[in-house]
Amino acid sequence: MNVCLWSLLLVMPFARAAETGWLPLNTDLRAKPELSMPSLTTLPAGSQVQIQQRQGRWLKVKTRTQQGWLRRIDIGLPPTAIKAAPTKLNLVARPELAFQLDSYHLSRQQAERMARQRQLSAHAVRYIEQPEPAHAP
Amino acid sequence: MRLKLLFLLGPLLITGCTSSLAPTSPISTRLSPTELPPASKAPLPAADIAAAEHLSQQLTGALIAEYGLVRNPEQQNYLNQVGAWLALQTERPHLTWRFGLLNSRQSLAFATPSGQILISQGLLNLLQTEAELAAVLSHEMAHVLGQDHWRRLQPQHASVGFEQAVALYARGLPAVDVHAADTKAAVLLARAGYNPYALFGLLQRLGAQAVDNRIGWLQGNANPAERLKHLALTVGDQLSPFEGGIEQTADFERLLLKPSPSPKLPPPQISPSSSPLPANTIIHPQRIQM
Repeated sequence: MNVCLWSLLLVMPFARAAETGWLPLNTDLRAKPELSMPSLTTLPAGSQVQIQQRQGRWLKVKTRTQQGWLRRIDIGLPPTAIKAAPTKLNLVARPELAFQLDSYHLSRQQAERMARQRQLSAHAVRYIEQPEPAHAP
Repeated sequence: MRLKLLFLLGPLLITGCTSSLAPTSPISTRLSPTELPPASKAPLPAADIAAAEHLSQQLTGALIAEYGLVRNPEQQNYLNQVGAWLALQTERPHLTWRFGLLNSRQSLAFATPSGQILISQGLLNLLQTEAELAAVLSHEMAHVLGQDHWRRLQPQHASVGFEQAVALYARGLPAVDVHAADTKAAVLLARAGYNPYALFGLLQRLGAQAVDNRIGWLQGNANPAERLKHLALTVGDQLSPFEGGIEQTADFERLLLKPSPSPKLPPPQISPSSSPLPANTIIHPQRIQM
């Protein structure tokens, strides 16, 4: 009996509940983790999936009737998850304290040298155009 | 006054818009960021620059007075290394970019109109990789680049009041500004050599945590769910060539993940009626609060 109890206690930390993902947009479910694979089906926005496996940028998921692969970025959050709440700020202007940040400032050369040490390299990437905001009638 | 507003916003609108670059893809050839086309040719009116800088000094000093800076030069220096590198990837590298770590257990981040970026220890404690830290900084820097706070502070008035600015920071920017900053932040991450999708991962992870815990950085007017949806719509796969960018660094692990040796303290006196931490405190298992 004791052995059974200890076995259960040992297993419990590893027995994770299946992770649920929520899809904010219509999303193609693919047979393999490749964008070039044809879509098995298009899951409608609002679908929930069970995440079974992670492989780089891909997730193996299961729906009620099918299983397949989605990109990690396809997973969102339910729309009512968090409500806005203003931050409480009681601030008094103290411009004379702002200089305290200056002591940590790095020159361009210092920033570039530190970035190289962390294996970071710059790429030229253009900004992505924003969609026009919806206007109220 | 409207003319003045157009003068101020004109270059900024160009800054945040790719139409002048006319790309079909956000990816150009591998160039040094200094070779990127200048986003803005017309300088801002000197009076507005001076007013924004004055307000930024007031706000920065006020936040330092309220929360204090974390007394850990290594962490402050590291934050500035990440921030300064990101600043070099922007179209305005010569702004007075400054970065500071505030001594607050709340998860907060602030960007002043002139480029002072302040994040709290509480928010830093929630981050797991350098790319996530860069994502937070990039998002805040994108608000500076878009002059979001300045635009919302009714700059048609000759002077912007400090109290007016504090009220804006308390209620937060509108969702449209937050969404635009997210998209811009993803591009800045890619430019700096980080995985741009770190921002997705951060919003997914913190967004899920924030359902049960107060995470101030996520409680603005843009719901994390909507932010993820907007990122999926605007960025989508467009930055996937940069997905192999840096996520973690030894510096982040050493300075922010590795628990420092804790001093020997007497055993805590725990009574059922008193809890040492507020109910909404998030305890990160790998961190020690400053």
